[in-house]
Amino acid sequence: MIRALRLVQRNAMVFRRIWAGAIFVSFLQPAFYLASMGLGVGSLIDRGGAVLPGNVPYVAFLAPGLLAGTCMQMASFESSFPITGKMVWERNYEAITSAPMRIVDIVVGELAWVALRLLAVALVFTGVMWLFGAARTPLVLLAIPAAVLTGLAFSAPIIAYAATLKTGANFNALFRFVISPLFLFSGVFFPVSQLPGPLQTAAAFTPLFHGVELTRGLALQTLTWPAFAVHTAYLSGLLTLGTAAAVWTFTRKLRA
Amino acid sequence: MTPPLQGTAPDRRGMLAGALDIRWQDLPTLRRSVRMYQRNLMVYRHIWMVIVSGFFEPLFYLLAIGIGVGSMVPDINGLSYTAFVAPGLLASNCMNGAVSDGLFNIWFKLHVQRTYDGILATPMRVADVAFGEMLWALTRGSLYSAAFLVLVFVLGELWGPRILLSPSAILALPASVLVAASFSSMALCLCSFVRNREDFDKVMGLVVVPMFLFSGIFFPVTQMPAFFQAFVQIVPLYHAVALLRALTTGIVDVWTAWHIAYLVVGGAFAFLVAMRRFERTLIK
Repeated sequence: MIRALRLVQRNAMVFRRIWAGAIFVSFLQPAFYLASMGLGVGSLIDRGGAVLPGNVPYVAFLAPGLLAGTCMQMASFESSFPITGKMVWERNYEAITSAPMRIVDIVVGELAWVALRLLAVALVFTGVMWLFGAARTPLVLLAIPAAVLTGLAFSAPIIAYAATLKTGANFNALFRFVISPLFLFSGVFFPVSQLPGPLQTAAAFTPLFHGVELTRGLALQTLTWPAFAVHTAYLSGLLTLGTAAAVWTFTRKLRA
Repeated sequence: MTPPLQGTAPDRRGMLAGALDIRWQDLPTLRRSVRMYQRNLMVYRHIWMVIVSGFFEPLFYLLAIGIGVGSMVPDINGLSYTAFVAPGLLASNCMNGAVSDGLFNIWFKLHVQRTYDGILATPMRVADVAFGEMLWALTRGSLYSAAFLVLVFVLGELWGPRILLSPSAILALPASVLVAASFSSMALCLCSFVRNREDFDKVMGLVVVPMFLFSGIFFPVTQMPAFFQAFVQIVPLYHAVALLRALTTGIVDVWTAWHIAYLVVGGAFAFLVAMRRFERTLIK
């Protein structure tokens, strides 16, 4: 564990140079989205009288979904190019393995670093939610660990994949054909019950759907215990499998 | 005393004076610009997937926001939400193409791959390079726009609600080429101000994303406070959205001419500024 923290420390030192801009973006991005989609489109939707889960205004429906979606996007990005970069382009991991670091320390360290970044983003996001009146009870804080777990469930398998690549070209396809459609169709912007039947079933198998349901359910206090168990089990399972896969791909790459 | 070779003396005048002083011999020639175009064609033959994948982005947004969210939104001034959003997404797609080509790709070719240093060692001049890159971006933009228009036409006719409401929608294709040209020039201009990779975050976070969200694509700008409504008049994407929406819905009036004028003049000015600034960067 201590050794994994060394990697977190290393990443934090690199991050120190650019943190101001990153915090700025992580505050403004959700504020812009909530103002435009939440308030702008939301006022149209609320006028139309659509019934949303929990009978809340659209902005309160959108905000927790957007929190989970943003965590997915950020975690995916942080687990893609930077990992391939450290593996292939800059060969940082090669250097790190000559220190008393095991592969598992590296993988856990990278995940812990992503978790830390997600936690910061989720905290800022929750603050923005509160400003927009989309967080009405302190219980909304429960959404933060849920969003972090959602991000990590994406981070681990993508880290595993990133370690196998030589160039970043495949990531463009990953973002265009996996991450971006998930963001749009997993219930962030509209309830998946609006989708045609077969797509609804398909959506129920995607990780972001579970992340959104969990985060939103906790934020709006509409979650039942069985649903909580299913969503958490799905996301933790993905995180565990992804971590195992990452240890395997890292080992193949670094111990070859 | 011999006069300095053409193009070798760096231009040290102010941006405005420099941009507005147009000399005939500085303008790009088609013959040379086509070479730049040809080069891009050769490069993209190997990474055609990048081009094909660009078709899907606006489609996904149309299905998710136009139809998914749209099913919860009542008609806006008698216009179905899908028909309201679709022309906006066409405009934003033109912008995204311009940003990824004119801003990111060109910046990397300029500062990382240093592609242009090699090209400028040939009889190509900066203006030829810039114009050739523009032509390339326009080809891509036109292809995307044409595909999107055909798609929304078919989608609207087969499943409804109709999205292209007037025969004037056919003019949305040339209009979207104008939008793509104008945004490509602006992206080039912006590109010349980007110093490092962190600047991209600022450009995306403070310019591109806010424009995407507040230019009337997803909700009418008249919903915003009066101050923002006045401000949006200087935002390029607002004019692009308003122009394309006027054409697809057939509500064309005197404002449409103002949108066109903004895009033409703004784009031309941005192109001239970009050219001057690239001459300074590339020719030392």
